[in-house]
Amino acid sequence: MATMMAENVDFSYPGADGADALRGVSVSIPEGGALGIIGPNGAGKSTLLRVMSGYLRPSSGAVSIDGRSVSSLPRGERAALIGVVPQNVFTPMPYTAWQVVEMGRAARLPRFSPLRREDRAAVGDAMREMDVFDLAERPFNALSGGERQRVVLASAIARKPAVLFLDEPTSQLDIGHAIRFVGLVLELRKRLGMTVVVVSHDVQLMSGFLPRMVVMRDGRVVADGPTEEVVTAEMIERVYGCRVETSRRKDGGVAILPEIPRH
Amino acid sequence: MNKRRDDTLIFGSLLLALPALLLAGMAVGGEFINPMDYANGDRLSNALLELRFLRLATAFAVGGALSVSGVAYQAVLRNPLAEPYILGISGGAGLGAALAIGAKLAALSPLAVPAASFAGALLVLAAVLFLSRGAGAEYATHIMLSGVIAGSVCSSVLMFMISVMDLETLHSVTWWMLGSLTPQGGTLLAATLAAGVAGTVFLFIFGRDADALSMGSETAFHLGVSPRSAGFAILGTASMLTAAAVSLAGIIGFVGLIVPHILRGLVGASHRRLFPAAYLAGGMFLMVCDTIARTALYPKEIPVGVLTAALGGPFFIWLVNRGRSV
Repeated sequence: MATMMAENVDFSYPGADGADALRGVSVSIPEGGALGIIGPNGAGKSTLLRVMSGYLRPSSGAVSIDGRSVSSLPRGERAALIGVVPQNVFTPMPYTAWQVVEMGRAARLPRFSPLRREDRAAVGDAMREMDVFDLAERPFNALSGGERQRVVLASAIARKPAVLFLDEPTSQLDIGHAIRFVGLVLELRKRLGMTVVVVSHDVQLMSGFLPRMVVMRDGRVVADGPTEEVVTAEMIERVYGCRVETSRRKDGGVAILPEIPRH
Repeated sequence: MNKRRDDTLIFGSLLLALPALLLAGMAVGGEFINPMDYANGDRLSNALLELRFLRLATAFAVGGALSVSGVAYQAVLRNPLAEPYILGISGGAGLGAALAIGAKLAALSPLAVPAASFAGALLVLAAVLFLSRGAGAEYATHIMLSGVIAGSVCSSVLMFMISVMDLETLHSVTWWMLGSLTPQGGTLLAATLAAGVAGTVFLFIFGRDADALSMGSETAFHLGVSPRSAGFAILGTASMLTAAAVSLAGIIGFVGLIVPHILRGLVGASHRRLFPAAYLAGGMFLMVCDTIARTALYPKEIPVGVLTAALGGPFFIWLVNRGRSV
């Protein structure tokens, strides 16, 4: 378990003519927390994820995990602490699902050490958690979008990271798979004590599940707090430019009903 | 999981096939000679056996190096069609070697040719990576196109050199260019074998990095692999292997395409298994090809590069079309 902090982070992509992808972003994620980063397309959500996971170095500001700068962590240690499930994982090579999950586990091993019995057990456990153990010997590329997503998640949790980042995890999934997937992630968070950060533009789904929301727009954080306080009809109209009705769900979270203009 | 048993079976059969192919390759030729009679054979047939042995060893060293480098390029560039010949790396290595031969550097040291060849391979690799940088989603296509262009530029420079060479130099360059596995000096053969084994061991150690890199650089980063330094280490080793093969035997194409593809079906895509398997299988593949090339039309000999291209061209087309229909 670990606490993550982004403090006053600026970032701009090279060649972007001074247009900053992130401007003065600060987010703190407490140990074992779960939060959603939402916002319209181009708001900087995925960039923030890439900066927090260490893939991109902020142009100024700092990202730390338990007080240590993420960019100064040794590669192996960083991989063991931070798990990332990217939006799309594609490989032209015919790996089996098992091999893809094994890569996730191997990330925490030193170069010369082979996979031991406990590592193989961790791979099997992660696959069972994600309900993909039966697919272990199937080619990864032949799986459906939802199955691939669960295999990639199994690969991330096989090394038992302290923080798990998910980038648009439900964009390829239908509503049934999406709900099951998010439910699974939250259950895992409880059971394994992981900190979970989900980047998504599916405000409706995220607001129903996640206790805390960070709302981004134009590279800035415009709202951050408990979902019930942050996700309001005014916020949605201000950030997304559309009208909705919101209501508190009795099991926590916020339900969002779009108002569709009829002519 | 019966992986361990599978590994024993696969590497066991590859290691058993090697001496069998070696003996069979030594036996056939202009006339059949039983290699087992070496101890009490006459001088002529023993000399023939030694010649055939050296030629098979050359084929093994070249085929192994080319096929391992194919696996490495394919992993890092995330393109199953990448191959030292198609990427133009062989062309660069060839140009470097031809310059060294043309400048008579070969007379100074037998290792001058492979050194020049390695320099040529690295130059083309750098050019190809530079030309296709920032191509994003089109990266796989761009890198192939840059490779094809770099390869043809190298071959036209080579043609130009040939057209202005004096006769004696011309003879030694063309003789080398034909892509022949006729035994060269022992030093060069030993150097290529050593480079092949060392390169394969190095890549085996980087096997997990190759796995991670083939998932894309961002995923590789999250798996704790530095896309830049691990990528360069693997590509550099692949180019060293290509240069070693080219300086020994000229430009032989498509070995690095055919062998890795077939092997992935047999041993799977995991690079820790793929690199050593590709070395053994690639070596044996070229041993078989060369034995066919030198015996099929006996006493005429087909250059082995002609045979591998005749096999590899259609194979390449098949792979491309298969990719399209999926």
